[in-house]
Amino acid sequence: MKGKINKYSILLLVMTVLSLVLLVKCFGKEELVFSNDSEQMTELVPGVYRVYVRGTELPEGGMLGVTLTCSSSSYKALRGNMIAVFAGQEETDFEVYVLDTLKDARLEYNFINADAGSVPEVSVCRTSIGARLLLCLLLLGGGIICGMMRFRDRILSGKISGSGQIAFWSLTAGIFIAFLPYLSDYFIMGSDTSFHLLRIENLKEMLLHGNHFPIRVQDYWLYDNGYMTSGFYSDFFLLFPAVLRIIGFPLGFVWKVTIFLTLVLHAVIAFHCLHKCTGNNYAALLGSLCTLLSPYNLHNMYSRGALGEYMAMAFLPLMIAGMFLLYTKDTASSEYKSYKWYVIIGLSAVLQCHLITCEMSVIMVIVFCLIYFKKTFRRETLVQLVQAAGIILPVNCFFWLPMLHMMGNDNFAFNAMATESIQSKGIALAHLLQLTTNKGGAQIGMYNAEALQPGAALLFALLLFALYGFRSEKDACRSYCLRFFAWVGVLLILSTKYFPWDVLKVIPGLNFLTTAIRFPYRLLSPVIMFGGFFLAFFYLWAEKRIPGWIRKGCVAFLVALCMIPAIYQANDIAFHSEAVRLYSVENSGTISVIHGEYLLEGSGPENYYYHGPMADEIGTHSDLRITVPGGYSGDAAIRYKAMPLYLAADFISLISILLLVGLGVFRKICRRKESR
Amino acid sequence: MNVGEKRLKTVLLHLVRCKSFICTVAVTLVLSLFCVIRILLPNHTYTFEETASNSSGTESGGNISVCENISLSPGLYRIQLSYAIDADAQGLCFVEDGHVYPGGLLANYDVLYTNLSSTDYTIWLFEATDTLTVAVSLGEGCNLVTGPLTIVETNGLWTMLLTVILFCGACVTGGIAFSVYQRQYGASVRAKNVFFCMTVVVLLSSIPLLLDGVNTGADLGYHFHRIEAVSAGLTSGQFPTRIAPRWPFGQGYADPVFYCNLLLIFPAIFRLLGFPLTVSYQIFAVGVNALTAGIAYYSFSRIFKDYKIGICCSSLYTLSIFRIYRFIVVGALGEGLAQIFLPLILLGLYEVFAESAKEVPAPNAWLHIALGYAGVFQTHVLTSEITILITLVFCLAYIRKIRNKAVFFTLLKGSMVAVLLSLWYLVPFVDYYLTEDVRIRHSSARMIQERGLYLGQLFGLFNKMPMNSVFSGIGMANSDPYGCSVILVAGLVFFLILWYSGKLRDKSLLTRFAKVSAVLAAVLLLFSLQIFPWDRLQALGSVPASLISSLQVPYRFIGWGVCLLVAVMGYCFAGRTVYLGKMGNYFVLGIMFLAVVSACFFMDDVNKNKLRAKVYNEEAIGFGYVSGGEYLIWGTDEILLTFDKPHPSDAVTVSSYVKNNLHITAHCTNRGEEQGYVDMPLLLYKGYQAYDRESGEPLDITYNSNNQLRLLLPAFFSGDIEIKFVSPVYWRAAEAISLIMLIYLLLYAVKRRGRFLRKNPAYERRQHEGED
Repeated sequence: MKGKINKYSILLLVMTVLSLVLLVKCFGKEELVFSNDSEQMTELVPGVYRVYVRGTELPEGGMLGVTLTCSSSSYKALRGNMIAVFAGQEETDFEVYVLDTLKDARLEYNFINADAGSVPEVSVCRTSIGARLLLCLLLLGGGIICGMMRFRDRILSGKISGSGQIAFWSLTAGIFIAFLPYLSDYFIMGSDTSFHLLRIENLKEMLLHGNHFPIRVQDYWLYDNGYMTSGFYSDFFLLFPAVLRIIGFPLGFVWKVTIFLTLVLHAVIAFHCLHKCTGNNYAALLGSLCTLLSPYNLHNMYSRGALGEYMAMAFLPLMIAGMFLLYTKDTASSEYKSYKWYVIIGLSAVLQCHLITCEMSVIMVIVFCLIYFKKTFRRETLVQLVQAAGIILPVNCFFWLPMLHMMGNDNFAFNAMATESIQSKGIALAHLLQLTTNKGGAQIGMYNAEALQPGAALLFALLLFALYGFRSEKDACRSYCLRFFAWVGVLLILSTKYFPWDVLKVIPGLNFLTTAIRFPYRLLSPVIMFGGFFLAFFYLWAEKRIPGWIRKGCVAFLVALCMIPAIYQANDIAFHSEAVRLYSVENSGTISVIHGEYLLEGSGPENYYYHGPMADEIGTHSDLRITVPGGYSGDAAIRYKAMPLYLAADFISLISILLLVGLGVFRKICRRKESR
Repeated sequence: MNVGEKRLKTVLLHLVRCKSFICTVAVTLVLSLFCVIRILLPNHTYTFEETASNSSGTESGGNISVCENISLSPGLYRIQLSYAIDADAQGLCFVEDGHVYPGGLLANYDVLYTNLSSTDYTIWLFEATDTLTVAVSLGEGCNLVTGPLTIVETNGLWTMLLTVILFCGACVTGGIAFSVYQRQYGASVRAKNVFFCMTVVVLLSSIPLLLDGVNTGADLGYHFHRIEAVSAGLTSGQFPTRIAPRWPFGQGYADPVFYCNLLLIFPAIFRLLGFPLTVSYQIFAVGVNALTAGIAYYSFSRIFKDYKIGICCSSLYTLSIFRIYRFIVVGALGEGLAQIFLPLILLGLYEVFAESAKEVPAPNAWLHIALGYAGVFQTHVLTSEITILITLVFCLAYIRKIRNKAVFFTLLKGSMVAVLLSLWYLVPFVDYYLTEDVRIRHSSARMIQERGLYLGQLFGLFNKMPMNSVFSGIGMANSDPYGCSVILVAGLVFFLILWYSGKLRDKSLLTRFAKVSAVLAAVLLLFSLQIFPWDRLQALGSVPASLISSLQVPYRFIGWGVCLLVAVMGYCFAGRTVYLGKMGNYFVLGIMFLAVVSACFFMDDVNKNKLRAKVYNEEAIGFGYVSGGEYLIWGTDEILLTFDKPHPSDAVTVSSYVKNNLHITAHCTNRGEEQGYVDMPLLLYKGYQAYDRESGEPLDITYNSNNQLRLLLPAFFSGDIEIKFVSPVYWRAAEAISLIMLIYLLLYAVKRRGRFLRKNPAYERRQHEGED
C-alpha cells in the first residue's frame, strides 16, 4: 500500500511543480517580436505567435494573402495557414504555431487584384498560448496516467471483473477503429464540417468579445453581417471546443478532439444504458460496439461532417433506456424514480445537439406512450413522465422558447426547405445490403454510394431472430427482442425510398412532420440505437436458447460483421480523403452557411436582417435599416439585445438548473445523514 | 546405419521396382538427352546483306524495315544488326512477327547509339516462322544506315528446356518417392500439415508473380540491372562480380561492391540458362517467398516449440502487407532478401538469451546468429544497420546474461563467423567506402522525417494499390501501405493489455523475451512515424546526420517491426487457452483468416491496377539508370555518360581498339614530346590496371574531368596496351577466408548431426514420426 501511495505522490508532485511553472507563464502578456513593414524577420523560438495585420488598403475585389514561412527548419516546425484579408477589412490577426527554432522566418504576401506595393502594417507577438497548451496537455497526460494507474490497481485487486475488462478494452478498440482516419496531423472536410468549424470559431469570438449570453446571433458570419445560427442550433455542446479555442489550441486539433470525445461519449453512454437494461456486460458490449461502429455513424462523422446529428445519436440511448426502464421495471422499487433522469438528460441533450433528431425523438416518445398506453397511464409511470416533461421544458427554456418565438414571427429559409419532397432521398435496398461500405460521395444510383447502412451485424441478427426467435419459447428476453425488432423494422422501412412520404405530404397536418426531417435516412439514427438494444437482448435470448458452441460462433461472427466492415470503411475514408490542415479560421471565409437555413426567407447570404428591438425596418436587401429623424445629429450605436421574453426564458432555465442542483445536493446530504 | 538411412534404402529399393518411377525417369532422361544432343550440335548463323538507310530531310521518324520474311525455327537468337547513326537513343531496333501465336515471340528492342556499331540482343522464338521482320524505329531528324544483319542461334532454348525437364522430372519423381514412403511408413501428420500450409502460403504470397510480366515497381529496374550485372560478370570471367560491366553504358559501376549480390547469382544463372529476365526474376522471387516462409517456420516453431504456431507465424510474416508491398510490388529486392533472415536472427537471440535457465545457450545458437547476420549483411546494408541496433537493444535488455561467459562467447562466436562468412563482401566494401570518394559519403544532408508514416497508416487492413509515397502534404490519401497492418498491431495491443492487467507476471524466459520484443516493436513503430523527431536528431551532429540520412526513410524500421510483432503474436497464440479459454482457438482462426483476406485483397487490387512490364533482357531497360547514383564517384556527371569511344589527346592515336566489358586492348602511339593521354569509357574505380602488353610494364592511370579512366602515355610511346580490372590481393584473401568458413560450416553441420543422432537414436525416430 505504501508503495502505491508513493507512486501517486510522486506523480502528483511532478505534475504540481510543472503546472506551477507553466501557470506562471500562462498569464504573461503578449511580447512584441517584430513590427515594421519590411519582409525581413528574425529568429523565432518555439511558441505560439499572433500576427496582426493592419492598414490594408485593398481595392474592391482585391484580396491579400498573408503567411509566415521559413525555408529551412525541422519537419513541420512551423504550422499555420495563409490567411486572407479582404477589401474593406481593416485588420485581422491569426495564430502561428512554432514547434522548433526557426532561423529565417519571414512574412510572405500574395496580392490578388491589388497593387503589390501596398504592404500592410504587420506586427508579430509572442503569446502565452504555448504555456497554456503545455499546461493543458500536462494536466491531461497526468490525468490519463493517474487514471490508468488507478484502473490497473483496481484490476489487480479484483474489483473489475474479466467481462468488465473485456468490455473496456473492446470499446477502446472500437473508438480507435472509428477514429482511425484522424490518427494523423490533419482532418477531413465533410459536407457540413466548414459550417461547424465556423460555429465553433465564432462562438469563441462571441465569448471573448460578444455582448450577450446565451449567444443568439453570432457577429462574425457573412462578412460580419451576423448569423442567427445559435438561436436555432444550440451551442451548448460547442462550448467545450470553443473554450479549447480560447485556450489556444489550433482549430483542426479542436475539431478532432470534439469528434474523439463524441465517440467516447457515444461508447460510454451506449454501454451504460445497455448494461442498465440488460445487466450483462457482454450483451451491453455487443450492442454498444455495433452502434459505435455502424457505417452510418462513420459516414455522419467523416463524410457528412454532421456534428450535431452525430452528437445527438450519442444521447439517444439514454432516452430509449429511460423509457424502457420506466415501462418494464418494478414501480415499487427504490430506483424507479431515478429512471426518469435518463429521459430528461437524453431528451435535453438531444435538443441541445440537433433539432431534427429531437423532433424524431419526441414523436417516437409520443408513439411509444400511445402504443403502451396502459402503462403510460399507470399512476407511477405517468407521474414520472409528467415530472420528466416538467423538468425538460424549463431547463431548456433558454433555447426552445426564443427559437419558437422567432419561428412564429418570421419566415426563414428552412421553412421553404422543409416543404421539399423527400421520398427520393430515402435509402435503397441495395444500400442496406452493402457489406463493405466506402467513403462515398455525390452518388448517382449506387455509384459512389454513401454508407447509408445501419450495420451488417444488426441485419444478420434481425434475420436470425426472424428465423428462430419468433418460434422460440416466450420469455421476457424474447418479448423485448420482439419489441425492439418491431421498432427497428418500422423505422427502417420509414427510412427507405419505398415508404410513400410524398403521398403523406399532401395530407393536411402531416406536411410539416413528413418533410421536416428532410432526408428519410436520418431515421437510421434511431434504427441504429434501437438496433443496439435489440442486439443486447438478442445476446441474452441466444444465451438461453442456442447451444454453447453455436452461440459462441454466432456471437464471434456478429462481432466480426461489426468490426471488419468498420475497419474497411475507416480504411477507405482514411486512404481516400484529402488532408486539411487548419490552424485558424481566417482563411476559411465567413459564408459557409451550407443552405443558409437561418436566413430570412428571400434573402441571400450576402446580406440580411434579424428582428430585434433596436431596428424596426427591413432594408432593401434585408439589411438593417435605421430611420434617422429629420434634424438628428449624433452618434448611433447598434447592437443585438435579447427581448424581455428571451431574458425571462434564460432566467427560468437558470433557476430550474439551480433548483435541481440544489435539490440534488440537499438529498445527498440527507442520505449521508441517514446512513450515519 | 541410423533410422533415416534405413528408410532411405528401403524406399529406394521400392522405387526401382515402381513402374511409374521408372517411366518418369526414362522419359526425363530421354528428353534431357535430346536437349543435350541438340546443345552439342553446332548452331546456325544467318546473315542477310540487305541494307537500309534514312537520310535527314525526309519525313520525320517512322519505322524502317531492314529485313522481312525471315524464316527461323524455334530457338533463342541474337540479333546483330550493323548500323551507323548520328544521334544517341533516337532509334531502336525491334523484331516483330504477326503470325506466331501470342507469346510465341518474346522480344523487346535495342536502342541505337552513335558509338556502337551493332546491336546484340536476344529474342525467344517458340514457333517456327517465315514472316519474322527486323526493323528500326527512328526519331525525327537523325540519319541511319544499316549494314548486314546477322541472326545467331544460341543454345538458350535447349538449356532452358533442359532445366524445365529436369525440374519437372525431379518434382514428379519426388512425388512418387513420397507416395512410396507414405505407403511404407506413413508420413507424419505434422510433416504433411507443414508442407501443405507452407505451400499454400508461398502460393498466396506469390500471386502477383504468377502472371505474365512483372509489376512496374519503382526499384525493380535497378535490381534488373544488378541481376544482369552478375550475369555479365560471370560470362566475362569476373567472379565474384565487383564492377558491373555493362552499366552504365558500359562504363562499369561499382554497385556490386557496395550492394552485395550474392543471392542474385540464382536469377543470373537462370539468365545464363536462357530464361528471359522477368521469368528469371519471377522464379527467383517465388524461391525467395519459399525461403522466407521456410526459415520463418523453422525459427518460430523452435522458439515456441509448437509447429502449429510456427505455421501461423510463418504465414503472418510471409503474408505481411509490408513485405509483400516492398518486395513484390515496389521490387525492393535487397530489403526483401534481408527479410528472409530476420526470423533466424531472432531465433538466435532467443536461444542465446532466453532458451535456457541454466545460462547455457542452445548448441546451435551461434550458428543461427552467424547465418542470420551473414545473410542480412550480404543482402541489404540498411537492414544490417537496423539489425545491429536491435542486437544492441537485446544485449542491453539482457545485460546480466551478457556477463555470463557461455552467453558472451556464443554471441562472439556467432558474430565472428558471420563476419568471416561475409568477409569477401565486407573487405571490398570497407576498402571502397574509405578510399573512394563516392556519392553515398555525401548524403548526410538528406532529411527523412517528412517520409515518416501517420499513426493511422499502421492500422491498414484493406490496403489498395497506392499512388502516393510522400505523405507529408497529401496525407494518407492513396498512400503506400507501409504499415504493419491492424492485425499485428492488435496482437501487440492484446499483449500489452495482458501485461498491464498483470497476466504476465510469470518469470518464464519466454515471457520476458516476448516483453522485450513487444517493447522493441512498439519503439520501432514509433521510429517509423512522422512524429518522431528525426530532423532534430540529425541536427545534433555530422555522425547522427550521416547515419540517419543513410536510412533514407523512417519506415525501414517496419521490417524488423513486423518480425518482432509476429513473435509477440506467436506468444499470444501460445498462451491462447490460458488467456482466452475456449475462445482461444477462434482467436487464432480469426487472426489467420484476416491475415489471408487482407493479403489477398491487396494483391488482388495490385493485379487489377498496377501496370505490368515484360522485360526480356537488359537492353529493354537501357543501360543508363543508376537510381540516385550513390556509388558513382563524387563529381561524376551521369548525363555525360554514354557508350563512348576512346578520346586521345592531340599527339596520340589509338587503333585496334577492342572493348570487351571491362577489358580493353588497343594499339596506342604518342608522337608528342610530352606525356599524352587517352580517355577510356570506364569509370575509374580502384582496381583498374593498365599495362604495356609487350613489356608488361604498368602504365599510369588517373581521373579525367568526369572521373573516367585516363591512360597516361609517356612521350614517344608506341605499343599495345591492356586495361583490365583486377581485384586486389587482399580481396582475394578475404574471398578465400569466406569460402573456407563456408566449407567448415557445412562439414560442421554434417558432422554434428551425425554425432547427435548417434548419441540420440530415439530422436530421429520421433522426428520421422512427427513427434518433434
